Amino acid sequence: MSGGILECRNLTMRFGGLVAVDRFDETLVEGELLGLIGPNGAGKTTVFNMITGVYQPSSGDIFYRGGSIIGLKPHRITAGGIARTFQNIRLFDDLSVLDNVRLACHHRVSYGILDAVFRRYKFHEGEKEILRRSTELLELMELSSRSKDLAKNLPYGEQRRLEIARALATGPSLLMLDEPAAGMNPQEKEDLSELVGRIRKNLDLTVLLIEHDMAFVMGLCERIVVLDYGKIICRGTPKEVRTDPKVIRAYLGGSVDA
Amino acid sequence: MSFGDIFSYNFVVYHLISVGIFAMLALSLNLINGYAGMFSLGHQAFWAVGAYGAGAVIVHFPFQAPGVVVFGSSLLAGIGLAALAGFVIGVPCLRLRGDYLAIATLGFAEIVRILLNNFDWVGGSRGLAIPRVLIEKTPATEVWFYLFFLVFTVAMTGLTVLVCRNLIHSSHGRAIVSIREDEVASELIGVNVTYYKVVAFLIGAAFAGLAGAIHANFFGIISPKDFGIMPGILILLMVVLGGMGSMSGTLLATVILYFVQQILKLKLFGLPSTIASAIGWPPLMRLADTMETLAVDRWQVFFAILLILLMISAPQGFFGKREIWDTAAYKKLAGLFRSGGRGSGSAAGEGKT
Ligand SMILES: Nc1ncnc2c1ncn2[C@@H]1O[C@H](COP(=O)(O)OP(=O)(O)OP(=O)(O)O)[C@@H](O)[C@H]1O
Ligand SMILES: [Mg+2]
Repeated sequence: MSGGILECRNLTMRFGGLVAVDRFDETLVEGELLGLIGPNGAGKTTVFNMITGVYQPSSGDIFYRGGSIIGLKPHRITAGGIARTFQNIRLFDDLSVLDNVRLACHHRVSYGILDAVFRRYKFHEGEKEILRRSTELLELMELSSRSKDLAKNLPYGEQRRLEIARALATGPSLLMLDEPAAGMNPQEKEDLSELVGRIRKNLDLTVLLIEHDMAFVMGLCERIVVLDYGKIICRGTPKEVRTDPKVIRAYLGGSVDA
Repeated sequence: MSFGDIFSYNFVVYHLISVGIFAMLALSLNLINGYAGMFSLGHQAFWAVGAYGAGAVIVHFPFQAPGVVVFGSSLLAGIGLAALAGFVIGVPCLRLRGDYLAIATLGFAEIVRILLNNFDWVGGSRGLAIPRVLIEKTPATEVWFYLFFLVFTVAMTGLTVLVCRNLIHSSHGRAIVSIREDEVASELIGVNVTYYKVVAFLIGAAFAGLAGAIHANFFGIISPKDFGIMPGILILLMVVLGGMGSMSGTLLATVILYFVQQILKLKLFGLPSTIASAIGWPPLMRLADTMETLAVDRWQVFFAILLILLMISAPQGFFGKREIWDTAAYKKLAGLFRSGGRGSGSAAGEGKT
């Protein structure tokens, strides 16, 4: 199979006796926005962790732009163009909002350690470029006025946005969002939905989105994959998924055998 | 040692140089413990390697050469060998966190000390006497000897501050700091965590090596016991008290702790017994005597207790991760001065970030 920006082949993750993800098979086409949903503990975050190199899959393969990324260190995968946010916000709490974003620009820093120590021309140029990019992203995520605040002092919704800004600063082609709307009120969710749609268009991103909120996913995604107990139990358009009996059963808490 | 001696030129300069050496040690440890967040207990090993590297080069210099050349080579050897040691210890410690890293680095430092104790070509447990290669230390030249080392040490301390500051306020420095904040997040936003851990260890060790090389050249005698756990704890205490991740805090704590230590070692300048014998009441004289003896023999205990208390009750030290000029109290103070028509004090500090 070709044409996919990301291909997961029989991706499996075992934790001891538990099969958290069981033969996950899915291809993301460039530019699409795919929703990954499922009840608690279904294995959604585990899929993210395997793709970003946090976990080594027990078996299976992951191809990004045609090449396998299994065994690569997370920072290499990020540099390759896959960025993510975290379900439990993982900002650098004691650093400023600006520094959080600047850090994500680091992997393509244009100057070396000695350039920094001797404050050479290259350092100043490189810092200017990093600052320009970061400022731009903070503006995009409507966080400019917060740039000097410590990340931990931001309200919850802004922290979520900062996570996205930081992920974008790595310059990804594939953006993976892990429950970005969790804990937000309906108005914030609506704004976020609009924002995700906008950055995706403006930055030509492929997006993989985990979300519990059905309405949020249904409104945003063209295609949805449903996980339950590590297995894909259904995939299709929002409409198809919503009316699928297996999905309904999974969300109502009944046991499902796919 | 009488009270008047503390105002003599030799005495003052001697201690200023010592403070400078400790400042370099504390600042470089701050890079590892404070900024990179790797709790190392082995900094004394890099200091030792620097001192012994420099000493060995001088003692075993292979040919006749001008003093400047020998002196310069000894510095380079100290820095280079310590950096190498930093690399050697940094790499295996990469996978270790927290307590495990602390124990491993402490073990490494003890190994270095024990090895030095047994290497006869650097004097073994007897220590190593290092000839003065640049300026003789005779009664006639002593003034110049002290002056040179004062200027040189101050310059090198300044260099350490500058390098640390320039590094930290750059993308590479931010990468180092992000490891302390959240290693996993750091790796996932594209920071090569492994690389920057080694970099922090290597640069920290190199500056400790420079401090060691100056130490060897200035004191002229070194022995393995100078680089044991207790001096290591003293350096650590300077960083912890000042605030891990605060250069100005570390410098302030270095000055304070160094002089507290010296005052204890110098029997509190003999003041208690002087006062007690002036009063002339025997129990008071005995008490003064005990105090002085405790100060000399047990100052390490006070410092170890202070370290434990600090780690439990105030692990953020004076300034936490901030610089003095970033604290609320300083800004208030600066604001007072500014409104009084004085120049802005904090502008320089804020410009750095
Ligand atoms: N490091 C780990 N060690 C052991 N078990 C784990 C680990 N990580 C995840 N699991 C288990 O794997 C299963 C899937 O977890 P995962 O976090 O992927 O679920 P999720 O779909 O993201 O759920 P949620 O909606 O609650 O976030 C769970 O049963 C979880 O307990
Ligand atoms: Mg999850």
